[in-house]
Amino acid sequence: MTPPRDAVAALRFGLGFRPGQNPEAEPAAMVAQLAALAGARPLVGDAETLALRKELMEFRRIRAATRGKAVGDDMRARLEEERRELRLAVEDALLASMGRAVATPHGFAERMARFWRNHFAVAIKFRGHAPYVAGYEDQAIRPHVAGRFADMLKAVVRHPAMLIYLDQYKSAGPNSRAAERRELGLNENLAREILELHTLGVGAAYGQADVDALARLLTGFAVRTRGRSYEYRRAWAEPGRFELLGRAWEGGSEAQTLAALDAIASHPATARRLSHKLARHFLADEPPEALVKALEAAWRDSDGDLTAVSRALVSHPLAWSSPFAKVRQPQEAVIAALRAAGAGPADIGPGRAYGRGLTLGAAAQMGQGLFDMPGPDGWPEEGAAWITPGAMAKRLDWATRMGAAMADAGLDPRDLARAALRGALSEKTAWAIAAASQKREGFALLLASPDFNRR
Amino acid sequence: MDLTRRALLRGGLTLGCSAAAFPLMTRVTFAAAPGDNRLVVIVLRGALDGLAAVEPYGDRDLAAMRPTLTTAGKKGSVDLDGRFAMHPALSPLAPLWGAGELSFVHAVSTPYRDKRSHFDGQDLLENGGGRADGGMTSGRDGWLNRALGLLPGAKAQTAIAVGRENMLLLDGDNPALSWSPDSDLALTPQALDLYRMISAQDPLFDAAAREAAALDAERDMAGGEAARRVDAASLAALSADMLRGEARIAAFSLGGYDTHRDQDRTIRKPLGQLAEAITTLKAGLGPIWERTAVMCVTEFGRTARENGSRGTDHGTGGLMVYAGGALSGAKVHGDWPGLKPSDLYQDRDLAPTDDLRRHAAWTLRGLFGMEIPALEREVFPGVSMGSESRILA
Repeated sequence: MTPPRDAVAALRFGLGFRPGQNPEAEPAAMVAQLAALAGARPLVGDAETLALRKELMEFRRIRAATRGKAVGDDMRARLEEERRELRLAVEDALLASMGRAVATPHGFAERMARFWRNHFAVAIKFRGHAPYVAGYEDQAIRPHVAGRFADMLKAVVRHPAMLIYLDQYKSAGPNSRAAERRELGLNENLAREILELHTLGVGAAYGQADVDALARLLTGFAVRTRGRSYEYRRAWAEPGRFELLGRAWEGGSEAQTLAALDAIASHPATARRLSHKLARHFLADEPPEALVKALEAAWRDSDGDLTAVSRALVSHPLAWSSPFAKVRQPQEAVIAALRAAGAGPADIGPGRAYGRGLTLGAAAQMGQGLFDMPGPDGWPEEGAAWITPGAMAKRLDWATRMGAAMADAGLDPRDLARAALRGALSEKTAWAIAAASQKREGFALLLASPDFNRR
Repeated sequence: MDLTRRALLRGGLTLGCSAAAFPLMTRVTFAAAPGDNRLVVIVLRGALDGLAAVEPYGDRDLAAMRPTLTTAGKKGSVDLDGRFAMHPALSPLAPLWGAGELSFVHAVSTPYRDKRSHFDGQDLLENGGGRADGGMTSGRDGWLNRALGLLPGAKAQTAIAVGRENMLLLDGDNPALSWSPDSDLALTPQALDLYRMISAQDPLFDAAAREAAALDAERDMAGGEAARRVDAASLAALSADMLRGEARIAAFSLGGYDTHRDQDRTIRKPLGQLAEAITTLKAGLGPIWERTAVMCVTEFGRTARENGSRGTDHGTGGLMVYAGGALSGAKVHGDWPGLKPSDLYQDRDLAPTDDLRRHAAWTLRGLFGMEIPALEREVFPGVSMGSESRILA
């Protein structure tokens, strides 16, 4: 059964319907969103990262001043206050990014940004890491969603959030100049994940020697101690020639390492793997081979131009005719519910109509905290990972609490169901919602229903 | 256990659908109970450093491999047998060692080699597949699920995966349950009834909602002092609750073992959680502990040499941890390969000298009496169980 075209645009390729918006459903218009998103002003730009870092430094200053000393209650209260301030500052950034997704008319581009953000997964590792993670998507991912994959890869590999997350900032060449003076050495974590997760994929023809070569080529990719931005630190770089995937590269040169990353990005295995991953994310856990092939051809013909690949995705007939087989991940479900309710960024957050526990907290409860993906491979893709009995109980719990807030906001569950799904609302679900004995249960049935949670 | 109340609760949840259509809803019967022994499998995700957990301090090549990471002789370290010492963070387990309820197997691995990917390594560990290239069995299911097929009288309640995540280990054709300590069902029975109607066409949502309802009831029955957090202690406590009831097998995962950096510091918490999980299981199981084996497995070991960040990278030969009253005594098992550069696998990792699946198979046989040919054919295809592993009594 072919779903209505606007429902495919809003549900499969977007973040849900929003009253007053008609989703763009023509490939040209959808693809044009990518450039608009890439060019938009970042929510968390350099200035905001700096402000977050200042908050962090202030917290550390106070903590250092109190550490190991008997301090009075006022000092303890100040430390607690500063800890809270820091947490709230990071949380504000998270809420703002959720608010942006709730309001956006560019659902497709937003979904693509989220796809790549998850592909290059970075979770918050420790408190001092948070300021960089908060700005990571805006600084390293979004500017490249309409550009070349290779450029996104090179931006990611030079962002402090990734350098810290996968330990690259601690890695130095054993024969580098810096290693002569103090004890430093190689850490292969980032190199391994670039090959295994970010590009070729674990099934591709590479081995430990390639991991080792890339790890050596990446030495020198560091985080500046002051200011904590990326820097190429030649003194840490391992000298020598290293063979990676059959080609030799010169160590000790940032340009050579970036060229090696270009080569990895252009590898046919990268095209194949990412085409499959895109199709799997948008269409089905086992995506149709015809679609994967079409994406792969677009990828190779354009050398990984993400506008061309995205166009191939939304131009393919299967993209519009396949049934809704994927499960909305918890963050998507929360955002879609807020969109259907017509909520704006000002309605989301502590003390607002849709508080923390219904938004950020709920997504985390359902197994998807905003910045705490389980590992560098990102969130699981298959529906069965999200709809376990435990997660189902969480989804029902969220749906019930969200229903209470929606009832408080004066909404009607029958109207909300139409607003959320338009022509994709099934008769049975509409009937059950109308048959609920309380409004909040009507909302809960909608928000937990397969209709709402499949895309 | 109050069967009347349970039957009542379950009856209230059948909501018009045929009780026989779903195994959870049928009456409890003990006719073909799958024995009285208990198995807990803990998957240690991230590749536990066996050389840190159970340090081969008697190996004279250790110091050269690990100039900054050794702990033997330091405060809290527990000497086991003059050759191996337990990491200080595992010291809460010292009484179990003394009581003969703790064992280790060193230098074991699955057939997974060389790519050293966590995700593939864990998939193979949980799938139990036999191909040397790391490929899974064709069913892509979990070996513990396949083992359920050999357990007489096994039903959905016999095995439970505890925690928020889906566990491949228990995935497959045989019914098993999954539940998290912080799960709770909020809908009224009437709303749940309506929900059943709209989810009926979607097997994934339908099955999850049904299990959620049944497990919610089960958990309430089990005492209700539910710690609604998901940490090592609550995972172990919920497992113990379920094992005191009908469950015979429980599985959960602990994480944080991927210690690439500052291992001396970063490994303490995950090891502490392992110790806490085991001590919580013992406390929660009470007299049943005597009939229990806890088996902890990890996808692979880590490099023998410490890396440039005072951590260790992905390796090959790893460690199994066993605990429980069903053990034959306290011992560090395994064929120790040595730490000289020439002894290492690819001059890098502790060399694997045994297949961990062999020990898992013997554990299943020891606890549940499963037949060797069936274990070698269905649970771990391609594995030869060989001589008895003698970890269990």
